[in-house]
Amino acid sequence: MAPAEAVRAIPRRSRLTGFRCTNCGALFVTKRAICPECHKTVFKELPLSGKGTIWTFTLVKQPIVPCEWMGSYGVAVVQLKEGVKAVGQLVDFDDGDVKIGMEVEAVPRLIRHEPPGMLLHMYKFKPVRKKK
Amino acid sequence: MSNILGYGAYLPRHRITFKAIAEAWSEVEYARRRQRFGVKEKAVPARDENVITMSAQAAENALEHAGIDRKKLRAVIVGSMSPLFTDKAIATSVAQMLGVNEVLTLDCVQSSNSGVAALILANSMATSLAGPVLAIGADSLPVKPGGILESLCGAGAVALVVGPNAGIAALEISYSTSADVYDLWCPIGQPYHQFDDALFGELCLTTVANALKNYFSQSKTGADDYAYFVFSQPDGRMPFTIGRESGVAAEKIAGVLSPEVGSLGSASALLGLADVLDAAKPGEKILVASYGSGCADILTLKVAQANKRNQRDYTVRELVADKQYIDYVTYLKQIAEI
Repeated sequence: MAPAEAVRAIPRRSRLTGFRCTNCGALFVTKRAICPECHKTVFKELPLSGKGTIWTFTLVKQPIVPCEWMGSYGVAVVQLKEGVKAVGQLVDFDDGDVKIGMEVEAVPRLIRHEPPGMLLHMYKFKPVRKKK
Repeated sequence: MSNILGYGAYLPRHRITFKAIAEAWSEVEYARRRQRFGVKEKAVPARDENVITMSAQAAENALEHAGIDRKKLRAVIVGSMSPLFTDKAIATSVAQMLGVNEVLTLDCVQSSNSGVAALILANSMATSLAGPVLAIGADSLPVKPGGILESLCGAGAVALVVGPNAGIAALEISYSTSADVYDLWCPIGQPYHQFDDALFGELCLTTVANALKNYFSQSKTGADDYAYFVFSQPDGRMPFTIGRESGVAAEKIAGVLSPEVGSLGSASALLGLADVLDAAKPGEKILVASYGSGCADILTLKVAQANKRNQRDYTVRELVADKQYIDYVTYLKQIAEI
């Protein structure tokens, strides 16, 4: 990856960010060129809480390149409390404990080492600890 | 003088016991020699964790505890002896992850007292910059499998929000000494630190004890004036050894968590401080003394108000107790040695 590409990717990878249409108020996790609701083109960026519940998930037991170094891992679609859904890896969970509806929160983690010598981070989701 | 407005810690979930490490390196001498360090188990970062991610999570916890608008932050300072680049600050990545960019970002690196040094700097900067400052200590020292540091060094991060307004505790005065030594050092380009454990132990003890003696003399205070003493924790025994040498009663030495999580380097004394702040009462005074690479830093605090923790906050002890054990092979995979 060229450093310039990494630099452009850092802001959206570092922190879960939403894009709200300034015309109709629809909120999206991924940046759009055109609002699918009202077809306007102006969006306002805003940070999202990163907190939500698992809407659905899958556990990958046989990862492939470039994720083989992770061992088994999970991927979840998370219903954020802002009402939109985001996809991300699941971390710090025990097999059998992951359930639909489980509370999770976005945390920063390493995605991979990227030549030449860069670190790519991105948000992943981990279960919210409950006070015992 | 500034105040601690909030604090937060982050510890990786995974732990490996000293027993598991000793069994992997089954030489009797190894096991017997390392038992004297008093570290029962240590925190091990997952493959996708590093000092940047741990610092950012500790900072999020601290900001939530402080309840301040993060856009008001004026600086982010990270103290670490395990930077990921020789030229690129941890603090800039942390600031990006926190969603703040109108801040001064600064790393204090290359010494295990860098975390306390960051806090001392934050004490001044919160006043000079007229706004809250994040001071973070974080470490995840690369250690050679089978080496002596493998039995000692854990991973974790602690963050404190320091501001000019009244808060949980007032940062009072600091006292520092420095000397050029070689006890724990890492030449550029080498993957692992060089470590003379006997010399490190001697220098840690004498440097901190002498610094305490001089500080008490200059400040006209003594061990009786402080409710808690938080010392560097390169292992589980050193804090109490320093206490004996300095005339500090063992029951006042607090926040000794290295037996449970390993030595956290720049986060070590700050984790002890956070543990003490979880329990300290208004009016009580705390003295923090940290050692690294020939330098000793002393910082005193006075607890100002009740420490309000909301329902979701976790005490340091609860974080320490939230753990999952891994075996030695999994440990090697996680530290990228295999």
